[in-house]
Amino acid sequence: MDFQSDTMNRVRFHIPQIHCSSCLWLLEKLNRIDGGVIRSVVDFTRKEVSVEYSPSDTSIRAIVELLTLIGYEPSITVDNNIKPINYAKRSLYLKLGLAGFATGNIMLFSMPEYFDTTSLISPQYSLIFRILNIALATPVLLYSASDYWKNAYRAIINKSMSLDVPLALGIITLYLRSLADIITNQSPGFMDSFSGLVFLLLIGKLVQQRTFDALSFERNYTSYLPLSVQTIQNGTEQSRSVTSLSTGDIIHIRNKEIVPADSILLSPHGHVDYSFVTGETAPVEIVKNAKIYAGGRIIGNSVQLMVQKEVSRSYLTQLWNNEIFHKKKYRAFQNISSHFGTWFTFTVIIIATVAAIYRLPDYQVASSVFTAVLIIACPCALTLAAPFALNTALRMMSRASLFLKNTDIVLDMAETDSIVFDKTGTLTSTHNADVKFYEGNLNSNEEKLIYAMAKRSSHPLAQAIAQTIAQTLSVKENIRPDDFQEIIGEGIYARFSDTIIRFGTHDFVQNTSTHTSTIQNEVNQSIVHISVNGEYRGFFAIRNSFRSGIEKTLQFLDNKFNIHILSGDSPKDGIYLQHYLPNSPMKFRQTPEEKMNYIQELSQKHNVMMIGDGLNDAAALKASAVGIAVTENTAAFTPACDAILSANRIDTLPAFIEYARFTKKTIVIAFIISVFYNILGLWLAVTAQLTPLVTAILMPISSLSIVVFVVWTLTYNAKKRGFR
Amino acid sequence: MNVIFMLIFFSILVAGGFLIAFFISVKSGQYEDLNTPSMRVYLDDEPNNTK
Repeated sequence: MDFQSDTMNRVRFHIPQIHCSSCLWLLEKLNRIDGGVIRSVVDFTRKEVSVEYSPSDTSIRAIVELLTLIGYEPSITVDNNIKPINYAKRSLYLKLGLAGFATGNIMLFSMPEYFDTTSLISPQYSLIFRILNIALATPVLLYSASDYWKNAYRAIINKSMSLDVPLALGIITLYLRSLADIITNQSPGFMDSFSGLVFLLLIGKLVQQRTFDALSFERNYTSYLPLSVQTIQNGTEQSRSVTSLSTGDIIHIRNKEIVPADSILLSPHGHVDYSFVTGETAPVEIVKNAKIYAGGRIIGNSVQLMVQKEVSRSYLTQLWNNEIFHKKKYRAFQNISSHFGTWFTFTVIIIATVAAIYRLPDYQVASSVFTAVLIIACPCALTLAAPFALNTALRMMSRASLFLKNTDIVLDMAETDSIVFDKTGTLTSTHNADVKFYEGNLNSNEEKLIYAMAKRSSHPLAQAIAQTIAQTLSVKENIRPDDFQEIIGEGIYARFSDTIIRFGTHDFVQNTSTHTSTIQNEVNQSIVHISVNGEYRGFFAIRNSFRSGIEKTLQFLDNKFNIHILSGDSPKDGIYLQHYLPNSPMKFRQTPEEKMNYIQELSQKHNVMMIGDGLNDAAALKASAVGIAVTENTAAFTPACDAILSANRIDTLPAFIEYARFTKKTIVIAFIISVFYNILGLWLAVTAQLTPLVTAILMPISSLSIVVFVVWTLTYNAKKRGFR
Repeated sequence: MNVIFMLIFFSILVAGGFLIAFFISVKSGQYEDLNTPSMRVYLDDEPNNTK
């Protein structure tokens, strides 16, 4: 809700389904479907629609129902995903606009003097040009460059140098020297270089601020839990907000819905999928009076629960009270900037002082040399190289479906030496369990019948079997069994006219059939036995499938990094993974806290990259230097993280890290080139040859050449790596 | 040559006008969403039935 009055309310919804211009058309025509809607405006990049309506004619509820009806269900969660308007970016546009305006005009006014070798222009003109230049440059100094003053001031107060300090020093010296030169009528001043410098620096800043508006990197449990839930009071169902739930409330949760608070089961039995919360793959079967934790997803029949703890005090949400969620990460970029800034500032001041002392008896030349050194050594090429390099890297990686939260993370990625993987949902895929049939064989008619009966069951294994058979089946008939019985914890029995099929546990099938397989249940798979008309036919082996290419990726990474596996699941897949990662530590049955502590301990000696997907990884993602969330759908929920990686590109991970390292190398090379430019400039400055014209030419050329070099190198390299 | 003074004055005035226009456009939020308006072009205007 943005705005509220008697005649008009404005509300914004996040709608992940928006994807094409037809969506836009439909959503902006809402007023023709519901007369109470005044206007609806879509923001395509953020996937938001802002609806203005008159509260007397319609209600939010009606609008949400309408949106859901036409297929655009807004994602409404306790924490609304809508981001506030970015006012910092607006002010940057304004600063940039002002600096650009000033630069253009000052350049035009300075031109006549640069080319005026024969004193064609009368002194009154050069006077007015110079006054105008000062008038134009002063707002640039005061407004456009204001961020640099603030940052430099803050850095000095905190006694931590950053690159902003020499930058601010260079900018202010350039301005004051020009002012002095103009007032004493020595030269036309460097005002064009001054405002041009600020303009370029601001462009660098804009480039560095690039983010992905459509993605959210700051989600916590509140965006995972539903907004409201059906409660049962005095026999009637009623919708209530989850935050208002209190102990003793009875709630009704349907298939695929999420349990909002720790509760006790009232229904006879149910299945809960905790894979997103704990990392366990196999759904848990629960019986009456068993405890269900918040975040679990109910599978199959709907259930009634009695709330035990309020939402904010549930086991899952307690995790977010940990201090790790309130700490800011220390970024490698700040590190480099502050180290380099300190070193750079002192070197420049020493050179300037030495050069000035060398010229000393002549105060005029000495002061001019001193200021010239500060001006030319201003690390502008350098401050431009890094943002452009990081921005290009960010853009290139996003083409290959790795979305970074901000540009600084590229450098943190380059520093990585240890990678910690979550298993469930990260290395394994959440759907498509790997189902294989062994021993006997089934004819197509039997397959059809098994499909029909598996489909009727809500048991996850039956669902997995149904899915697999559905892929091979040409016709998906819905055959009704004449008799159907599901025995909880045992199996399913069904009769289709004269055919009786049973499938389920070993005992369930064996007791009624002639022969069964001697296969023992292996650790990493679930077995479903099948008999037809009392004759044993074989069994389905169901194991969760690893993502394609993951074995190769792990082996490749294992040669270069320390790989660790942390899983909340049982160690059933351990042997399989051990085969590919013989030397990697693996921990199973880890709680979210244990994962976080493990990462924190590891981070003392290593730069850790954590790759996970679920809520149980949220703390670990936060504790690591780079936390990457893997998701199959970028619009779906991902825990707070530094980067979002599309699940089908997880095999590209080694390439991403190498590319990040290459980016870092490119920045270092750009730094070396810019130091070379600075030395050239310094030589001119020390020998007192630095005229306004030379500066005006040298500064943009050095900056632009470095930007072009960096962008071209990184784009070319990304193409070579096949990022698209 | 004095006409140059006038030209300078006018050029600054025109450029300043554009600067102000830019400031207003930024403050009114036109730079918030750079993607959707490009798609809105495809939408047809409503046929005017009131005639």
